[in-house]
Amino acid sequence: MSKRQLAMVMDLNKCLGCHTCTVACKQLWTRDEGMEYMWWNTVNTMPGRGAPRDWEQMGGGFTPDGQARPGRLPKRAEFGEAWKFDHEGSYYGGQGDDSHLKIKDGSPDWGPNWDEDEGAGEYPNSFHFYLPRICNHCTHPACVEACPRGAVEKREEDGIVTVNEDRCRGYRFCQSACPYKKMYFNHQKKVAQKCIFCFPRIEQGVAPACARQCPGRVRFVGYRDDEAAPIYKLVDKWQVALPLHPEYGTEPNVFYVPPVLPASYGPDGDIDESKPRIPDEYLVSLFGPKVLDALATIKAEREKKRATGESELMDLLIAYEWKNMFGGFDRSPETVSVIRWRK
Amino acid sequence: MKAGYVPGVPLQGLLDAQADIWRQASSQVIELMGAPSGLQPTSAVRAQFPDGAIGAVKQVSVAVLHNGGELAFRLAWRDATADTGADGQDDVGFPDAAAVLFATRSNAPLMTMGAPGLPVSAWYWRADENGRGRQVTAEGLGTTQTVHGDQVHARGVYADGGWAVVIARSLRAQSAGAVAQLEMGAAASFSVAVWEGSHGERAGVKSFALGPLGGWHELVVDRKA
Amino acid sequence: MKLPHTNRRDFLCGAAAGAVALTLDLSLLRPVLAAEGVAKAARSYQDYRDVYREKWSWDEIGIGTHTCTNCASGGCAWSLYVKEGIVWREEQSAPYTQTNSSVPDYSPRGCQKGASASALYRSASRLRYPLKRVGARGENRWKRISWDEALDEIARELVTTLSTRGGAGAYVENGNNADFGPSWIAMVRFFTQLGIPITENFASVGDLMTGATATLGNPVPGGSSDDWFRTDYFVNWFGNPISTRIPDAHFITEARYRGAKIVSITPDFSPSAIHADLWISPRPGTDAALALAACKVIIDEKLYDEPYVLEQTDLPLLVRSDTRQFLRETDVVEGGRPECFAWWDEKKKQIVWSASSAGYDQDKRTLRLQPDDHPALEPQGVTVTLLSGKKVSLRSGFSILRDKLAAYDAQSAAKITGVHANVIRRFAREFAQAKSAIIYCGAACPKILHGDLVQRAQILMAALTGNNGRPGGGWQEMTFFELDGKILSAFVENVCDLKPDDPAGIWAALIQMGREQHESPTYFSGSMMRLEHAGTRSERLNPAYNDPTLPRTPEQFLKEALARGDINNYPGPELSKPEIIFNMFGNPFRHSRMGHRLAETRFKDARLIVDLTLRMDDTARHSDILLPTAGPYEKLGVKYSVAYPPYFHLGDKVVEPLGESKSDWDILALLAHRVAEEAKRRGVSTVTGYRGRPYDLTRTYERFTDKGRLNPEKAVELILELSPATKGITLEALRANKGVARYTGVSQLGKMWCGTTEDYKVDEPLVAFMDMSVRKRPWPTSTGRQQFYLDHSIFLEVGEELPVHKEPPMAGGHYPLTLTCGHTRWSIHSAWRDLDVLLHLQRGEPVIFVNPDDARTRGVADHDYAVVHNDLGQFIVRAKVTPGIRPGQVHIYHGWLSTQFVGGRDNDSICPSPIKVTQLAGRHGHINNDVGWYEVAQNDRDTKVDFRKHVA
Repeated sequence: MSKRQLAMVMDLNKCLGCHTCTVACKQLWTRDEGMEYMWWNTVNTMPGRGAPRDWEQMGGGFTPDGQARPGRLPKRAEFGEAWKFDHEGSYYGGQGDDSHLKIKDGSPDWGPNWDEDEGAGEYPNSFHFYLPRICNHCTHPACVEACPRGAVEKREEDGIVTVNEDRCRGYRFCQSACPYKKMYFNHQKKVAQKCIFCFPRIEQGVAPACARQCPGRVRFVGYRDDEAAPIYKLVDKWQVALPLHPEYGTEPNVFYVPPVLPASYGPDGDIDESKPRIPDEYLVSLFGPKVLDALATIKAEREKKRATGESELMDLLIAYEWKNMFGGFDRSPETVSVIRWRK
Repeated sequence: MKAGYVPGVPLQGLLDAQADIWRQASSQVIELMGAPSGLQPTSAVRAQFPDGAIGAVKQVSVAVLHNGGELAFRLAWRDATADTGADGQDDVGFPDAAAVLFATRSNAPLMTMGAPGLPVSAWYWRADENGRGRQVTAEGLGTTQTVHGDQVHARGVYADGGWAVVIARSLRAQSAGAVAQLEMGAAASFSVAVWEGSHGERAGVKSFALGPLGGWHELVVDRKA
Repeated sequence: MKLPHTNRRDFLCGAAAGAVALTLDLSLLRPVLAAEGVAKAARSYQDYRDVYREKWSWDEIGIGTHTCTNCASGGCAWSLYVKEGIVWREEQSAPYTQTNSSVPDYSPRGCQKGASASALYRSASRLRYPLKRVGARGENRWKRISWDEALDEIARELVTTLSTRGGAGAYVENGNNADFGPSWIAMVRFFTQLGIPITENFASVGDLMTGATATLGNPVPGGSSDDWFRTDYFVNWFGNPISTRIPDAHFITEARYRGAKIVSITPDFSPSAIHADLWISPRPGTDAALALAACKVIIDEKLYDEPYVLEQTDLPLLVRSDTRQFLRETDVVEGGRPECFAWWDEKKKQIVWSASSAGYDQDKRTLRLQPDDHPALEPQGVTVTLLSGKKVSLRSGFSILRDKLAAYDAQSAAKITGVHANVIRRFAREFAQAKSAIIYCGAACPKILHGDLVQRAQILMAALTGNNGRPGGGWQEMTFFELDGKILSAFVENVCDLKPDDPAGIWAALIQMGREQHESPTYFSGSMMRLEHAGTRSERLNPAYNDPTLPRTPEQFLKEALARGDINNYPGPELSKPEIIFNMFGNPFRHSRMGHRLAETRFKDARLIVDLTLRMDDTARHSDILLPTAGPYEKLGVKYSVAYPPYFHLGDKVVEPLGESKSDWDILALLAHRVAEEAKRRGVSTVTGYRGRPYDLTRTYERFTDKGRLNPEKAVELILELSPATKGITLEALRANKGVARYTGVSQLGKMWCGTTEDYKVDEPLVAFMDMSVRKRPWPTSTGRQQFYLDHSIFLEVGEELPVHKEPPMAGGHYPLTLTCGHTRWSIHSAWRDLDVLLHLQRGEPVIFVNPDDARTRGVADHDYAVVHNDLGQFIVRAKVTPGIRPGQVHIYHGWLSTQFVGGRDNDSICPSPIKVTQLAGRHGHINNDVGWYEVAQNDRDTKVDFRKHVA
């Protein structure tokens, strides 16, 4: 166990599916050679096959008695490649009206956001929502425990899980073991790479890019045990933020406020208040049985806020002051005297 | 077994696994066994590789030559797939690999890759780093570290359904680490290991040779040509 | 532990997408504290963590926003992180602090496009050098030329054309992706002074809400987005703000937590629908029936706000039974005031002339009723004797409305819309009973033929319930803090003579400018140019694609309107054969319906086509000379003043223009200079603009730069100094505050157009129409009220004097499916559409969203290519099969470039864009046919199609 643990809460009722988080992370960390196909932050439409495709069926994590559950390696095509496009040919190739900005090298059949806005169910009762994911920086990290070289480390001071790339030899047991499939393999450098919870920013008191850049104001950041900050209140006090797939046994430190969708319609076309648009069993399959209590709490507090104007929980989720979402990691990056590397 | 003395043959000559000198050298077929699942350092590895699932390569032909300055092992084994770890494919396979292991203390345990205070050293070749060898040392499972200071040369050729890999280093090591020190006329304890990439073998998941001397084989470095 | 040397190098190779090649060996690096600029401690590479610490480092930080981007969310403040002279990434600077503890703050504003803009501005499509066509037009064969070669040729051709045909020999295709600072000012100054007309495209792209102009006297009513947070009932209707107002959308999700009910009305289960409490999905194009049914419930159940209706709407005003026109004072009083309207006072038992009327005594105009005023909402048996002696009976608008609404009982509306009657009733009651309710009308609404009717019906809902002009309430689209200084700098030659401390002088300049523009407008209708001169006339006027109930053909309505001179800004025959076409800030091949036909018409006939452009696109491909323009980050710029965020946004010049590109200002200044020199060389002096105004061509540069006094920096200063909205804000202060400042007031033009309010306060959300609801200032309509009854002859002829529902037309032929469209989260129009990093997060190709049943019956599986077709042609596209799409609907998000489609034809190529005949009305009170105010718009959302599997 680390001395302290950083955590994140993502409010699915505020997630716009806009991928600003995804792009913020990409631009900051994963543009180098070998990293092009990596998206340490993903947002997928749920229900869906996600990224990598069908990751929930790939195994990993732990059995209820704490044994490693076998997992399989995701293939690159299941993540989706960083397709290249024929920009040159389409605009300078002399093709006239036949110019086509085509994908070079074939016709992909999956990508990191392939099933965007699809979901499940039948019109007019289809349902879907957006699920952003980063590394869960688990308290019981399967990747750390899987590595035969001890190359995946969990930081003592804040619980951030990183790959020691000096030590990693690319054996990829971590990739099979992670049940969330949030470990990536750099095929150029032959090392595993993953979300680092923006530790260089954290070290300077700045929230991770995915959180700080989120225009939907979805993400709360902070230490798990900071009772004065939103994380503790949402996870422990109000218990409306839950880990994804708790049955995987890794004890994630990313928590989700479950989504509430519009009312569903009965067969006659009138509103049917009796059953929620997202079937309870689907949400339970994602967030465990406590999700139903969380939804009930949110509903009750929303009514209370509407009626009285008062609710600590709703005020937290509204986040009147943006900076208060970050548990003290609210420094503006512009004020940071960064280490500048000079020749 | 013996390391034959071939004075005057330059290192580059030794590194050519298909050179005549190797054809003329005496070789020995050594049986390999899979590393035991129970000895794998993490439960994730053990879960993925239960007993019987490790050890795709069953035997390796070994020949050893030295030129008075450098000593070279030639390892050859049958392998239906050349797994070079080249990028661009789906690439869920792993690169084939091989190593020659040495006991740096006479009682260093082979099965556990050494133990604290009893290091095991190895010269290592991996198909995705073909041409560049690596010298490592370990004092137990999962503790392998690269040791700098000596150049290990390792070059493999895949032909006719098998690998032939030459792994060479100077007899005397320059680095201060716990690595093999060899000299003409002296004996050393060695073993070999092979990883079959298409079976997902990497790290401690490998075939290795279990010899008669506390697990080790003996190597005598010839003094005479 | 030490790494081998080679691996350390590997770790660091190639940082920012091939541009910032940081192939540095960390062992040679020393960390330096940026703020101090000196080495604090020599530290060599310790371990892998330093690779990441090094990545998050920079040489300097600049101020940026995405000025050349017509995103209607408005500005977002970004910090630009510069390494080795290149912006390698950007991050929101988030300087918006809470101004009012009852609403959330605006931080951090931004989206994924903004977060990848530095990649876009260095992407493969960006032009680096001037290019000249060497193949056929559209063929895409180019050679690199120098700026001298390019500008000399253009100047020569311009002088030739201007000296033979005058300004009418050229025109400017204009889009909205302008930097509304120096760049836009440069375009308007340059071409206005040469008398060369510019297309206006608010209506041309289909965004103009003529129903709002007709009803509220304002095409862009709205407020700031934090006002959404205060509402109790938020109705997203036709829009998709979760995707298209990304920086503002949190005010909706947060309003929901505050207890507001969120309703989303779209045929598909859209990204915005998932964040609603109630999703209503009418059959596409039947929204007016839904709104009118809701109005009927509100009236029948007496849920309307009667005092508000009597004071603020035209519903009590009297309408003549004989002509179906309003009773006007001129009808009954000799020398009566024109445009003066009346109600029946139920206590006085007489007609009272409404003090709100546009023709009422100007100093006494007000909405406020006097204590003894008792207007009757539904007077019975009122008659009047006309000047002619004829007696006619009169009815109130409300009374006529009640009759019209009889057709929209919930059951009938359910049959039309497919929405259950109980849902309609519930919606109506909840809306009416909410303390405040907003209808957020998306820009898809004006893109159906009868969008104006939908707007009028929606506004009626908001007015009946007293919501217009109420905090957290009202019918809204987007509005602007229009900046007087921007307009003046663009249109006034001697703008540098204006003094900030002389508001009267500034006002006089605005009036003078308005007069000149009325007499000799710079802008003409882009929508009508397409119709008249771009090969689309037969489709746009095809009666079969239009309202089948029209008594005459659309062409007859058009001819009559032109004969009456009702349409200002009409591109007449003088503009039919331009010799030179300029294109700036847009991509008309993409933003026009059937835009590809430009290639066979305008673009085929012209002698020279010049595109000032950031990038290669469909329009550039069909041009002759491409002048690469500097992007945001590379020039000083100002963001479009959309009012969702009530903040001014500056984009600074942080890095040098890419390659040889130059700012729009610099390009046009250079060209102005060469035109003047060329004119002198050839002895040409006086030429005439396209509306006949003479000017001296040799003074082009002098006039462009206001005698050398005007430059980009000065232009930004003028914008700030001459606009009351930015009073006290200086360029220096902006630079010290991340380029952002809260607007300090409302500009003169803003008062006229933008929410029509003076009551903006720096610590309160902006609310539209508080001037009317609180100050009782009359609405800018003929009646001075929210005007639901329109007595222009065309409206009367086609039965639209009051809002009604009309069936969507069979635009494109009789096909079973409706092609709907909408803005996407993934692009701002066609910008960002071809950016690799965002395409990776889609499917890399254009897709249509289709319902599984429609796909199955046509043998189309997910990701198959489909051919979507109708009378006009076809396009080929991937199918994305999803249950959130309504059966019968084929949905495509907009902005895909035609080159992204197999076969090179995009969805707009098969949209016939029929004209709405009531949009030909003009010279009738506030129904004045002018660009950007009230005109014929393009539309596409009624297009009928079918699709089949594509076999290559």
